Amino acid sequence: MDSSGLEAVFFANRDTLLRFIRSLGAGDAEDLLHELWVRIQSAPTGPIASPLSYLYRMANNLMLDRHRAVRQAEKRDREWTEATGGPALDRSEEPSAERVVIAREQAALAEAALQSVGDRAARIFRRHRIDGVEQRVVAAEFGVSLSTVEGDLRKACRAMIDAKRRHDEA
Amino acid sequence: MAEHDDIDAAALNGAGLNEAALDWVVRTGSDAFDDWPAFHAWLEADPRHAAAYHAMAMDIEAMAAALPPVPVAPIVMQPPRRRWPVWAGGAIAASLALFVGYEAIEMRAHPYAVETAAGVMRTVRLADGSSIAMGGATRLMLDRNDPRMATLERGEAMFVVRHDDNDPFEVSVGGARLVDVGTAFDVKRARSETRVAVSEGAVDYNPGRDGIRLVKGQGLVVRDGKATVTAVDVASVGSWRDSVLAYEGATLAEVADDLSRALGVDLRADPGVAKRPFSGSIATAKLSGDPRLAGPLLGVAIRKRGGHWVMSSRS
Repeated sequence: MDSSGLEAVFFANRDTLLRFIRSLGAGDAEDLLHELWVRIQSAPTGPIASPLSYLYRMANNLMLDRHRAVRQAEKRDREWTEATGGPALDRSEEPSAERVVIAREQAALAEAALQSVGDRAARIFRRHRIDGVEQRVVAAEFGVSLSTVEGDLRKACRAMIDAKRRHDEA
Repeated sequence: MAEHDDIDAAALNGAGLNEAALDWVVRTGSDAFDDWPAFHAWLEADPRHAAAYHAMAMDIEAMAAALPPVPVAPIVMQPPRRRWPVWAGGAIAASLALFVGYEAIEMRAHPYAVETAAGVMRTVRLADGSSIAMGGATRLMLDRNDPRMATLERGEAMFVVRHDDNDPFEVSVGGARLVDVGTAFDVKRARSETRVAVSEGAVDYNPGRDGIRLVKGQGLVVRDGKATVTAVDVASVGSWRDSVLAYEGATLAEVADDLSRALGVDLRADPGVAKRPFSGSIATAKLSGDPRLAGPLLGVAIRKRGGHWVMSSRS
């Protein structure tokens, strides 16, 4: 399917995709839909087995990208504030040497949380999330079912999220 | 998950909401996920659902990024080989395509493995013009839909990559990320250690976390989760491609391991000499596959013991 085929599916499902983007919390859903259309023009050509699923995924990724950018901007703002001694945001009074210590603490926290879920779940998390291996391939590598991989990923994510949120509240 | 001791309905709802959000983050994290209408319906059911989903996705990313690199043993499908087969010149490396019951062709990850046996070298040329020279007993995971990334599971590979600031080449090794800042670097992953040496340009190790930028003439050794920057001789980086192994204070254990990969034999250093440092170059072609000939240069005795070769003290 080339990009004109993908465009046809896009136009046939335009309203659904717009509602989907809105449901993800976008105030400017029309603009994002247009952004999606622009990205389709430069999508790699080649067979796409489920074009609608592909479009949904692209829309979902657009919103994830946006949230990621917001988080990174907040982080930069905090660091700039620390560097210039500007008004404190949340806990921004630490000098940069302490920021290094904090980063090390976060690393230790993340590592401890991951190890607490057991060897297989920890390795499956790393394989999928850090090495970027697709879940079905991970399932084959470990000789387990896809639902086992999903279960292990949930277990690992749950432990790390709990650790992060407990730490953030403190 | 959190113990449900509270009778506070809001807290219970919170726990239930987060659990659902987590489930959706995990499932949408798979490129094979296709139940978008169900996800859409969940999102439309309540505006808090989208907020919980994004918070969960971002928090998980933050935690994953915070993880320190760990020298985890690479996943092997069969028990570690104790007998290295000796391949004649011109041996063919296996190229495995890992298709696991896929009916559809995934547009994102489309991984495949390239592997060499010990004693063999192979160069992989990628679609973008980059090349990866592989040493013996080396295994790489590549991705047909992304020529700008590779995972070195074990062995040694020299990466000569086309530099692109907008789409940097990335190598994943031992749970860490190397990001090319342009253009040539060697990576070795063996005995739970990762070694990087840069001969041209620069490479970022784990950018963003314990991010370290390595420039030409610098190297890195990662052992037991600790990364140490070293100096390397630029001319020697990747010299193994010309069958020259060059060392500056490397342990004989490392030399034995490299010789095994280069010659296609199983050579080990016994505990008495394993930590001894060695500086010098070994022209492996001159050994003609016989590890004993390296003995005098290394200052050790090399003998056959059982199914393998052992370096030991001469006295």
